[in-house]
Amino acid sequence: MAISSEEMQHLFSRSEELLDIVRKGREFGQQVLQENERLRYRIVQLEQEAREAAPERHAPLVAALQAENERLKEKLAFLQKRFTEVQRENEDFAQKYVEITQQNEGLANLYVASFQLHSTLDPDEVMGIVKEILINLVGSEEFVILVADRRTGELSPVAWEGDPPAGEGPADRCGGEVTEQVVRSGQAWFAPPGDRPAGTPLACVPLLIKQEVVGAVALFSLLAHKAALAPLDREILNLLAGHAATAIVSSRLYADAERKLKTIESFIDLLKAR
Amino acid sequence: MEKDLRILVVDDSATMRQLIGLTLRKIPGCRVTEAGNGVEAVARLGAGPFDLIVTDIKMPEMDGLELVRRLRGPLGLREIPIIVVTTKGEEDARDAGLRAGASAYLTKPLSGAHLVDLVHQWTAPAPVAGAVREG
Repeated sequence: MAISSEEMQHLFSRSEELLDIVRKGREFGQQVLQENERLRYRIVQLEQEAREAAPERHAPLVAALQAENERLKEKLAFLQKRFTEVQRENEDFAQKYVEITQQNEGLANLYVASFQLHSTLDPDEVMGIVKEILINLVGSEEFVILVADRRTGELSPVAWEGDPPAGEGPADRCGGEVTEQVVRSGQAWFAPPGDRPAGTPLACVPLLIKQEVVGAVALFSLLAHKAALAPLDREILNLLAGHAATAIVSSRLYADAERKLKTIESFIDLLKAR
Repeated sequence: MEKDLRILVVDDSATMRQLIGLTLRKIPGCRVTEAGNGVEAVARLGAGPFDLIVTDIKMPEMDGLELVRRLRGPLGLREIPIIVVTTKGEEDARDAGLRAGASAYLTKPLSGAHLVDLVHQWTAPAPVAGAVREG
């Protein structure tokens, strides 16, 4: 059977393509072999690196680092402990600062109260100062100041602040049994926390000269924004117990003496005129 | 060198004037001038400038609110900080003071530390003009 020239042409073309595929296959095989070689070399390299990185080679360095780590941990623990201590000290100092500031304010209040009480010999001014102290320093809204009569010893209100309940005059609002007890004992009285029976004062302090009660101050309520009496308020009230009594009595004695002196002077002038 | 601080304290109560003066004189460089009411305060202000005014509300002749209104109005002292001190703790008293032009307020019984803090706030080198700071 004869092969046509066209068929021959086709067969040649196919054989060329086949040869081309074989050539490419050989090139690919060589590339694979080269890559294989490179990877084997890399494996050898990694094995060598692994041997060099063996723990026993770095044992001294690791031990030194561990020791340093321990030392730093101890240092950190010490610093944390010290920090806590300093923080606590700082809080203590802050607390002490607040306390000292409060004490300073308290001393200033006591100084001013004492200074003002003895700054005048006018009975009205003295009474005004006692009222100012009770309002401005203690923060009392309703109170009554009672003074004992020199002859009968009977207490009567001489100054007050705030309106008494409906139907009552200032004379009716003297603190009742509490005031009587305070006058008898000469000891200040402060209401326990909680509700109080009507007419019972919040606090009552005697006005004392040595052991003699010459009057009393009864507090019935505090200013709206003041919840309760603070320790400093009690100190001021105790200071009032002594200093206000002296100031009130001495100013009254001075006023009496002045009046008597004027009477005597007038009498002498009259005698001289005759 | 400490800053010179001139403060006018206006209160009809000598006790309060002394107490406020005693508290303010602890501030280095502070000089305190006292007045017994609003009328006296206006006279003191005419005699010299002040860095701050502390005034009571309830006073005879001219009360603290009227003093603040006059300072902020006819007298034209709009920049000078004014701290009002009152025995009333109620909101209306505080609001009336602030509406009249006061810078801050304090309630009696007075806290010295609080007063000193307010003075420091309002006499700081660059105060915030027009702002109201709660007392």
